[in-house]
Amino acid sequence: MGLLAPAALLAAVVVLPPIIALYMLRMRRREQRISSTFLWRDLAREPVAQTPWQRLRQQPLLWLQLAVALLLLFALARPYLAVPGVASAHLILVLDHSASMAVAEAEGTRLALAQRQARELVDQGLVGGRVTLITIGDALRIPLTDSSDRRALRAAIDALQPLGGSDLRQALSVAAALAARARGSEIAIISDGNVRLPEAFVAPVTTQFFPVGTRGDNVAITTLALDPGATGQQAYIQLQNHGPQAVERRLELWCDGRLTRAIDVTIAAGAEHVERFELDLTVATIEARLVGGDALALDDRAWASARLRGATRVAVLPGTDPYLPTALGLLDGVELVAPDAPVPADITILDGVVPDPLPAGHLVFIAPPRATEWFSVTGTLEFPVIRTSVEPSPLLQYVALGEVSVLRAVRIVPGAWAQVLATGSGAPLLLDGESAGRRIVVLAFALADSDLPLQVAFPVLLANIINALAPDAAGGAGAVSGAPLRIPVRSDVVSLEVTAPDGTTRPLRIDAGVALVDDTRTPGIYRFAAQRRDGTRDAWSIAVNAVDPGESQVAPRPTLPIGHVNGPGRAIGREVDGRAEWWPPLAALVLVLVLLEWAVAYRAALAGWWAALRDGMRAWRPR
Amino acid sequence: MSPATLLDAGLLHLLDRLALTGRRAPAAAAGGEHRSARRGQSVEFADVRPYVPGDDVRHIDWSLSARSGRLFLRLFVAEEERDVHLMLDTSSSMAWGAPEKLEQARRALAGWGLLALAQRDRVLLHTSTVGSLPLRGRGAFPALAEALQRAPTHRAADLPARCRALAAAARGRTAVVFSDLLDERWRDALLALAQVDLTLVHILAPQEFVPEFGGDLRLVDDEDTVPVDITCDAAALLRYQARLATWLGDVRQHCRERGITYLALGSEHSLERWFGDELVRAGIVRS
Repeated sequence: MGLLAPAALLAAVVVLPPIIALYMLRMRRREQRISSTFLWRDLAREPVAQTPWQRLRQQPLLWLQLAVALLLLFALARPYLAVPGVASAHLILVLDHSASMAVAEAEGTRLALAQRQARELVDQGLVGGRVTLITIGDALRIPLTDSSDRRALRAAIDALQPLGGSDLRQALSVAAALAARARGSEIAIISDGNVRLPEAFVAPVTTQFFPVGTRGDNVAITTLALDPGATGQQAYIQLQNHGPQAVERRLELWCDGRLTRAIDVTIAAGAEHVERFELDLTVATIEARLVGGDALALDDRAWASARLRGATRVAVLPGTDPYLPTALGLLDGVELVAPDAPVPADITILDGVVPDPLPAGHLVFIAPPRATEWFSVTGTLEFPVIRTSVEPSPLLQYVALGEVSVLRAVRIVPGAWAQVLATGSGAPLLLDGESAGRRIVVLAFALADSDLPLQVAFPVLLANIINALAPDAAGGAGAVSGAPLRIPVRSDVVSLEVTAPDGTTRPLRIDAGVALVDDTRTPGIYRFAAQRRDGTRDAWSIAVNAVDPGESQVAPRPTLPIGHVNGPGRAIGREVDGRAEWWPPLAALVLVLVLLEWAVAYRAALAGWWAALRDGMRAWRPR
Repeated sequence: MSPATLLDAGLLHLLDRLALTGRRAPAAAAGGEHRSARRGQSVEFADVRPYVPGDDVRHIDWSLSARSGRLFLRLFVAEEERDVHLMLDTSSSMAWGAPEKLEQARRALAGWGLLALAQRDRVLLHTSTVGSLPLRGRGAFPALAEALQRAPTHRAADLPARCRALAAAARGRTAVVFSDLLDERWRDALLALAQVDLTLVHILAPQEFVPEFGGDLRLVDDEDTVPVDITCDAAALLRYQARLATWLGDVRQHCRERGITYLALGSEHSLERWFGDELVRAGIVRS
């Protein structure tokens, strides 16, 4: 046990003597004239003396008041007990509320356990310090910075819902920046450990990981797709058993809200299972359900929608390269249009040119010869060796760029909007990002300066790019709930509205060819209805699934491999001294003593009242 | 001082219809205290005494005077005539309460005195200023009222001493004492009047039954006694009321044991009801 404010005990010198003096000092009484003191003399407890002081006598009230004062002073000294936890001047609390935190544990969901742990850490962190709260889930949020408002921190923690994925990279970068700014900082991470970590991250301060969860049994619907076939449509369902044991589950397929198929599937531990169902062309949406419980219920349902919308209009500038039109022609749902068509293209591929002005819609730059508002071109790279990012990206799904040889590339310095997907010779070779409502993809080398067009990766990469820039156009690729949904809108669309899975319909604002659905917390099918300028209507739907596939791997990790300036081992430990103040029992004891003091002070009156009550009860009792 | 200022019309009207009932042949008549005997139809010869100027010449015993050569007056015992001693306690404790006890005592004594004067009793008023003021006849009531109004209060009034003085003057006769008895020597005062046909009118104020103060107080009175420091909370009030009840019981018992007629009178009580109901019921007056 220790004292956070031992100087408060010095106040005893000031507080206790006056209490004793009050008992030695005679009371200054108000003078009351009466007819005669004759009948009152026997009632006086003490004879009247003229001296202002009297001898200190043993009085229960004095001892009770001294005890109350001492306890209050002790509470002001802020006694605490050393407990496992945190003890710092500035606690940066990173709290994971991703979808995997919805796993039901014996004592509640992982999120509930994490929230309880977070509240305890906040209480400890506020012992002589301040707290910054960072949450990761559907998005990175920092509800409170450097705060000592316990109520607000608790409210922010309690408001979290399991949503989205677990990306610690940006959260740790922010935490590290905040820690570097405030002396005495400490980072605490509360998560089940299924997080995406930055490469070679070294925490500048003490970083502790507080793991939650024990269960690892989970079967998830990892993929659900509704693809067009020769005569109909095909539902593609991929299941993954992340648990340590084989399981048997019932798989149901619902087409347009009706149960169509139901089969029992047995999946070995750690294995995948794929089912395909042939469906009619009339089926617009499908839903797959896994019946029976496991650790995470969110990934037991998935939705997909059929491609019902018209083809994505793609223009290529200058269009002299044969590879691009050929590869684009192989893709379903892609319509090649002329750059100067009356209706602008949805996506324009700028192959070695940067026209001025730039065309509308989403842009794909290939070996841009000059700088734009989104990036600078500072030179060329010779024989760069492509290294792809370890972070998975939809653009690089099933694409092995490492086998591509490049003769030369332009050296690009991107803006903050860009995510670097591949590098070579220290410069980015493939960029993806969004700026001002536009999706931008930059490939730093010309197709002719590499063997990429000869690789299998080329059409796959092109399909991924088209999918990413027009997700509704390439076969009903879904989104994850919680993440904003960006809908590319044709230039001739004058109004657009969305109907959420809960049945609510609201109009969407179209800005720079993109409509934004910011609230996708309800998983299911989001139906869009667009009206074109010529009066025709267009309708399509997008499936929003509850869980990022990475979240289905729910087995908790007891440690996080985060480096620390004092050694990596520190990151996984949580045996550091925390401080738990225990003034509440002191306050309760003070309250009891104050009540006791009141009872002692009015004991005679209480006895009288009790006697009167007893007599009253006797009189009332029927004889 | 007119009777109306001390006694209101209603009370005066009531007193006109009431009479004191106490009857005792006054030994004083034989003592020759009176300067003139009363005239009456049914008189009884009692004694003779030397004539003094002013005596009714019709009552001169001419035969005895002829034999003795000096003038003698024949004395008779009148049925209605007696001495009534009325004493007002003017200690400072009486000048307290709302309504004030002393004012109530003055009015009660005046009413009592008026009854006595109306039936031709000799009233002797005892106050600290007049000593012993003899009064006779209804026409003497204004003098009685004035004497009462003039009676001041005294800070260190010695109640036993005043009672001893009353006892010396009223030995064997009727005396009525109007007092609150708030003196620790109240027993001595009453014992001093053992040889007197005594009626005690005990006057207390309502605030003495239910004190209207509380808190940490220093209680003082005007009788130069030691102040009393007290925390006047609910418990203290309960103890005071118990002490008051005990003291009142002691006074009543003392009076009962010594043949003293005890009459309680609150300073807030209606004197019309007191004279017309309580004293009638107690047999003190008759209508």
